[in-house]
Amino acid sequence: MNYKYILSVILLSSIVYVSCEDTIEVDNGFETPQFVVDAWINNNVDEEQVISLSFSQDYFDNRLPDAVTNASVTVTNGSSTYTFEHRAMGQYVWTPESGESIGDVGDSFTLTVDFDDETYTSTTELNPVPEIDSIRIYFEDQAFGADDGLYAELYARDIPGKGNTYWVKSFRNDTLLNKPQELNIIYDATFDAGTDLDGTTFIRPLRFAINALDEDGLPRDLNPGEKVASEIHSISSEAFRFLQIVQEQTTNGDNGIFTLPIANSRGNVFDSSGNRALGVFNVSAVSKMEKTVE
Amino acid sequence: MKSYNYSQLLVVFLFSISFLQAQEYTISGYIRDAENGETLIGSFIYLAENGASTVSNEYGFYSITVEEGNYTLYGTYLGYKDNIQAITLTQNRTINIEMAPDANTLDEVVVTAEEVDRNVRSLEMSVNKLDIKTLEKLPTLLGETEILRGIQLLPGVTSVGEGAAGFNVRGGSIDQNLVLLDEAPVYNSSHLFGFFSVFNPDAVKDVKLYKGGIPARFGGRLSSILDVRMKEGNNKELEVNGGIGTIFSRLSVEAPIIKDKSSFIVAGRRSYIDVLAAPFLSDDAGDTELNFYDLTLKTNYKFSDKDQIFLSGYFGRDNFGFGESAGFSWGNQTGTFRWNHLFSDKLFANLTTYFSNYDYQINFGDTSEDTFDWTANIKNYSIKPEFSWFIRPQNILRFGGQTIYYIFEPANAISVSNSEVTDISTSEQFSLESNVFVENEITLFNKLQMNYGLRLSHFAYLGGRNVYNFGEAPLGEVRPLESTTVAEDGEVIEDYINLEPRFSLKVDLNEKSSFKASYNRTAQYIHLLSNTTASTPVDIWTPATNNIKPAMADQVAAGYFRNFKDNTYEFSGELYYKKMNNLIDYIDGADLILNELVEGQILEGEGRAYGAEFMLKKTEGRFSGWVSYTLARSERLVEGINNNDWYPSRFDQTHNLSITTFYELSDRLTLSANFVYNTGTPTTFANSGYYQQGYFIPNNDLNERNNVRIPDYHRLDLSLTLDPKPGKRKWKGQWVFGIYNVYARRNPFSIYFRQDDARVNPGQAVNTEAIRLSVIGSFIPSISYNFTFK
Repeated sequence: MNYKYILSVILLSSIVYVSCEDTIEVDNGFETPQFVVDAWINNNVDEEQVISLSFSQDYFDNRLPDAVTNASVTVTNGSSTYTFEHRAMGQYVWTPESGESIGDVGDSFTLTVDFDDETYTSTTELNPVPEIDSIRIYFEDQAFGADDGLYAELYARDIPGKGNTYWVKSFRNDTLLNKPQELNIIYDATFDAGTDLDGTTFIRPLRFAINALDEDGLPRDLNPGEKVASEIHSISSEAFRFLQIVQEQTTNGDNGIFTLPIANSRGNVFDSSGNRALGVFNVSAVSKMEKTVE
Repeated sequence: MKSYNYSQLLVVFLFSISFLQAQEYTISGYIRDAENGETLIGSFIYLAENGASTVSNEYGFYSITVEEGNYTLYGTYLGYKDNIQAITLTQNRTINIEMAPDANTLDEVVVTAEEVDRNVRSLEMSVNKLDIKTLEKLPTLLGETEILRGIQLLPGVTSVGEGAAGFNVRGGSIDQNLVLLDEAPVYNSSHLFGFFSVFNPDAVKDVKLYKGGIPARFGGRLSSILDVRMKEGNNKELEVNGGIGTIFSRLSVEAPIIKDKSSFIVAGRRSYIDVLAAPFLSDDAGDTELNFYDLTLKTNYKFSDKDQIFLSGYFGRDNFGFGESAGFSWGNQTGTFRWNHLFSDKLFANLTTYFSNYDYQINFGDTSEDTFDWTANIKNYSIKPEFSWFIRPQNILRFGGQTIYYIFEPANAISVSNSEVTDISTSEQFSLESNVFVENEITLFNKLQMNYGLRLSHFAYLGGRNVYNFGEAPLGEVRPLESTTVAEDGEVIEDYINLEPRFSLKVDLNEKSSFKASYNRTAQYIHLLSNTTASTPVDIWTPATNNIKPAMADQVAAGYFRNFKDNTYEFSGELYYKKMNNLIDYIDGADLILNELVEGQILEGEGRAYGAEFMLKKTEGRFSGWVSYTLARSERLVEGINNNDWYPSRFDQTHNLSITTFYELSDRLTLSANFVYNTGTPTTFANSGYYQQGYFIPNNDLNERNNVRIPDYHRLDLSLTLDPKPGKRKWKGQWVFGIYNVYARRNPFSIYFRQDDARVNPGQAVNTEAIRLSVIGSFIPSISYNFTFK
């Protein structure tokens, strides 16, 4: 949830009472499935890394994607090459030896996927991630539109230098907060480039965005005994731009008369002729923290 | 642009001077309503003997110069009795004309408010004038007299949908319209997004929309000028007008301060939508505050027949409050001071200075440890001298200039959290826009009338801030910041100069018909950054900078105008073609607010719009009204969008039809109806979707823009007006009953794709659906009561 999201809630609540929404059938002109690479991995020690390959589908199919099961997938950091083996449902897995990780901050990685007489490649760099200083649980009586109660805030400080980008993944009682409105991405402690902020504590709306949202899109308060966890993943600037458009487009339906034009997220995977394929290859460094509400 | 030169200016002057002759005298003066002293704009004054004629200007002034002799002077204005005076002209004469309203036609529905054959006779084309009396009888949403919705019933004027702010003229975006209230620009002309306009009908005297053939005295926007003039206030007696409607209450008071010399008007409105909306809001939002109001003021003082001053102001605000913890408000303020001075019977001068401000404020949190305060505004100050030289009835020369100083404050935003202060403001922008113009209106051989002029405009983007230089980026991606320099206060960072030629021509084909043609070039130096379907109140304006060029447009139009049956029917048909350059668009995922480096996310493109507009009016009789139909196309070409191919703009509507009718059931009872139909506006659909880390991401496989259309829009509205009993009485009341959207069609505003609100467990599919959003989901009845006391 960011300022702009809050704003759209304000804008909309005022027109809601005369408007009406109907679910309709539309012909969206879907024709051909396309190859999709879903390769977001990290350099955690001893952690299995998974890359998924699938096909795109009609937007209204409301089903899981068709898996790509007969590809070959490798990732190299220059010195070592890691082979991802197909396990099931289009998931390709690399299992580390004990104490092993896929590389270090500063390494450059190349993904190579061979499928159907085509080679798809992508390169990315492993960026640094800041430590989480604390997760604070506190009583909030001013939460916009939400109940008074206990809420969590994530304290971390952006790494000095312009253009650091992060994805904060949060969990409540081990459930990943995966709603589009809960997607929390950070550019130098704030929402986006274009401010003077750098190297400071993440700004308030981003710190607060680790709280789960209810079905009305409002933050849900915490009860004693509940568990809050957050992970900061460093991401590349391409991945940040990709997720920024994902955030905008997957929540566009919340904007009523103020919808944005349809925009495609641009990935960083290319076929051998240089055409952009769907999906992203990103390697993250991760910091995490967990806290139980007392 | 350099191909034009100043010798052309000289030609303009010489042309006019060649018509100067000796032994002539001037009749001049003001033309006013006899009952309330309001000056009448655009009344037709002529001399029966030689047919010399003129039209009163925006201040009601006229001047007519003819050879000495005996004349019969006619002052005419529709809805008024002709004022006829015999004049012996042996010296210059000042004759102020007072027009008595015609009791027989006063309560009649009047579709046009000027001389009967203006459609054919006037040089103006692509210009529409709306009379407040006509607007009052139009069926409207919740019974409110609405200027901006009224003009959407005219050919060439559209909107992306109900609730959308602003309007689109001949394929231009909403920021291409210059909306003037007593010459001060109004940056957001809407209350409650786009449902109501900021103009209080009780305070408005005259509304004129220039869609083309824009004279050289106007400029600053590509597509249109909406010139709204306020009443001066009754200078004969106290008059109180008001109304109680479903959404607003209105009250206006006007009275002389010194009879015939000075008067004032104060008009206010306030909504009670908060009261109406309360039951529909959830308990959490119980303390919701939702209201809007506006206050319009004007006063004038006449020092002599030669000097008169006017002071007018507007203040309006929309407020949204959510308990003590959040608030959002926006509004315009304008102030105009004008001084009319007659240098001679033939040379009329007006000096206007104005101030205009649009601002919004957003705040959250009410403890000093946790707050978020965000304000933004656009302010401008201007001075504008203008001269009209009524050389002969066949020749008027106008010249003048203007300087506007702009201050843009795109975001002044401070976030305080646990007493930690974070300033995410973006820096202010300053600029200076200046222009001079000369315009000559001339009639040749009684059949040919022309208005040609030149406008020289200059824009300077000024220092007092950082200047950003961006590097190259792949098409459609954020351009990287390459270097930053600091420009001192007042330093010119970048400037632009443009010569804008204007030309219109009318040829009388016969008594009843004429042919008109026009060309205009217009330059626009400020842009509204808006990427959403409907513009939001937080959209900000940006000046042309070192990275953003001014937009330019060239428009040609030609039309045939004809009146039938003794001017009972008026027909006009026009064709236009408009080419626009340096229009702004945005990269995918552009961040337009709270972004210091927004210039790096702007794309530049071109546009073209063309169409045919037809209008047929019946102006007299118990049954009156008009039909307007537009066949049009509005397209954009932007590198990086739609595979670098032309695509229809978001407000492109192929067919646009509106039928507005009034039927007088009796002396007091009028039934009005309007029907509108337009082709659905274009939008973009995602064809496919794919999964990425559990998120289901929409994708437009062919990378097209605006490739599908939402269903067509049509709507019927009815209203019944019960006028007061005729005769002289102090209190006159009028009832208006209306139904908006009579057959309750759920007209789509947009179709968007939505994902399930519920949390998706790992291994589950994300559910999606298409939603049709109708801003008005039903028919909306209304009752309002209007009164006049004097």
